Amino acid sequence: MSTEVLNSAQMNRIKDSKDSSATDSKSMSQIVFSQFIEHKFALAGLFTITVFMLIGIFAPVISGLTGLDPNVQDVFNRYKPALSTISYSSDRMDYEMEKLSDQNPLISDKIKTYLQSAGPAINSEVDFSLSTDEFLVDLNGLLNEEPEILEKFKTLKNPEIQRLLKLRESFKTTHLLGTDELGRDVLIRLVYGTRVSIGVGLLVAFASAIIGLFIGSLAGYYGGVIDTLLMRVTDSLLSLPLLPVLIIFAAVDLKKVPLLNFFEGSEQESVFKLIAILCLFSWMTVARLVRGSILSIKEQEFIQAAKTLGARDHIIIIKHIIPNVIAPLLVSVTLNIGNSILSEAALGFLGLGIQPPIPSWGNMLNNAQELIYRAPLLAILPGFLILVVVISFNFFGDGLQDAVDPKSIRR
Amino acid sequence: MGNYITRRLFQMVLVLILLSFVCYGLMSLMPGDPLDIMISSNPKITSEDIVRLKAVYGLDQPMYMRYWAWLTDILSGDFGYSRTYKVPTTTILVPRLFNTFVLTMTALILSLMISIPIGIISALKKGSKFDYFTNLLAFAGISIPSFFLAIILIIIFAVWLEWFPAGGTESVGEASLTGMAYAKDRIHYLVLPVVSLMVLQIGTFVRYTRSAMMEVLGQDYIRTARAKGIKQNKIVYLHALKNALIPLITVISISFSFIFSGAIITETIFAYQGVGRLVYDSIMGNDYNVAMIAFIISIAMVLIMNLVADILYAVVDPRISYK
Repeated sequence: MSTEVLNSAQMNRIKDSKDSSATDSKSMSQIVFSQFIEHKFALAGLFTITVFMLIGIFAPVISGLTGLDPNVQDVFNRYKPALSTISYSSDRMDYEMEKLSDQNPLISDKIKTYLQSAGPAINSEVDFSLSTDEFLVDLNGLLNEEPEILEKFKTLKNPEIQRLLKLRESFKTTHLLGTDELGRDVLIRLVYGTRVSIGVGLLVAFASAIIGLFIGSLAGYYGGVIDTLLMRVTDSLLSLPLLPVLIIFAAVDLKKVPLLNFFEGSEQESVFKLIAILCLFSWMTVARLVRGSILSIKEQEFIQAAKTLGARDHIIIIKHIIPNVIAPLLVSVTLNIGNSILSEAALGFLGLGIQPPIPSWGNMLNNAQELIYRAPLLAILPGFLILVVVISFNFFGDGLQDAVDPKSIRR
Repeated sequence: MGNYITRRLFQMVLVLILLSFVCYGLMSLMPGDPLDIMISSNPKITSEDIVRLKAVYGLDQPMYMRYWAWLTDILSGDFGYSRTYKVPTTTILVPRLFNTFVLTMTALILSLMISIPIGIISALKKGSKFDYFTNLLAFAGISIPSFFLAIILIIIFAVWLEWFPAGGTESVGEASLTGMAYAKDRIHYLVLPVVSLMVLQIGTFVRYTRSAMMEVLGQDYIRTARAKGIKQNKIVYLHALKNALIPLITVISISFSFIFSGAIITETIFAYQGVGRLVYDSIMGNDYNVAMIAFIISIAMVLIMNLVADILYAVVDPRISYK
């Protein structure tokens, strides 16, 4: 067994030395790239992340194309199974028709005049005695009952009639993944949830990277009392169990906080609150990482040289030290995105995260447990998406770590 | 060493006091107020009554004064009453702490028993199919949201197969159960929560065991042992494993806080009467006394476990000395 391992390792080394003799002058980024694409899972992760990011970015386009809105409720059509088609109730159709004639008083009259001149094949069943307000409602009812007349109407070239038919088409919606407890389309909510959940993950990871970078550089570069103080705080925060602390912070009512109450009442209040809370408790790993790197880097000759040349502290930190910690930092940020998505989901599940109507994968699971018998898909789908995206970020981070780790780089 | 422990204990107390202050402050910022329910359930109450009630309960004082009063009460052994359950806080807390201890420790020990062998095998068979699948499953275990896993477990084992109850701590209404029958009943209710907590830990433990084992196997003294003709099994289990397990202690010490976080979700979903669920319920139900004590005690437990693991670390590895 052990000899086999040795043999394959030797083979690799021979293969590598051949490779490197052919392409001797690889730059650092090329080495990292070629190492990264060897990691199959990391590549798959990157692909999945890209797909979900595109879905998130183009959520409004998807909404426009399918004609579905994440916030439109329909209490008569709750818990519809996947692939079901729903048409509006007759009351709702009447309401929509009345709305149309209210908004465009002319359209009803125009259609009336057009139909009167259209000939008996089409207008034999139309009741022209009705008033402008009721005419469209009645016409719609007729079209619902008589599919033959509807077919004939479709051949008519009149723009007003075409407009009417187009509105009628929107009365029927197809729900690929069914509807939720308020009759909202699950698919489009998942699409918008992608936007919110991944967006929160990215924002938290980047913001906490900046906080961590700042605190880590301060502690590592200056050392002494500042270092001791900052690292005690970091260690204490790291040792706390995350979730109970997050719950306590998330349960705070912003109305009662003097400085933050300007957020209160805005629709995104809960999003801002969640991002702020998650940032507060996710910068510690980055800070420790940066501090460790700086401690070893600051003793090196090039920093001494920069100091001798009279460079100021912030120049040394920003220009000379940070570029050297950027690689491990990237890895940590990637892994942090996955963790932030998980934390958001956990708080959302407990009902303390992002508040409806804004959809997020976490809050879509909020009452999933009670619905487990009635609509198991509602519980499974968002959870499954969280799993897929978080595992992708973790694989991506793992691949990145292998690729940028100088110990594993083969030249 | 003694000096180190004293310093760590002192630091721990400081963290707890600071944290309890922050927590106390945050509780006063939560929606609702101790008087709200009294006021809303009594239409005849006047604004003078409210002012008088506030003065009676000390709610007109600034936050730090109220905190000081709370802290002196706690230190003199008065833990207060639960608003929801109408009993002293300690009466609820003690059994809950025991339940959580049983849940988390079972999950921890079982997941170590499973993940250490798997980690060793996949380190020995690096690059094999077994290693490949272990890696995949370990990542899945790390990435799966705990509540999602719990829901899936409930759907499969409680709804479809009906092997285990979907939630609860023990059978209700069968108080006569004693001895083995009682233990069996408890275990029956423990299975699903323990499994869902375990899966979260196994991934991390497997990955750490594997990398620690691989690092140790590459060391010179292992090569020396091989050169001397010692059998593979003896090398792995006698020489390598001992040293590979040392870094695992750190991982276990870190995992206490993860396990406790996981326990909140798991206990909430499985309606398991543990302290994690108590923290969540009491915060949501404005049960301030219980929320504060449950929160502080559970964090203190995590911190003490961390300290114990750090001390164990020095005991196991003589190269480490704390100053």
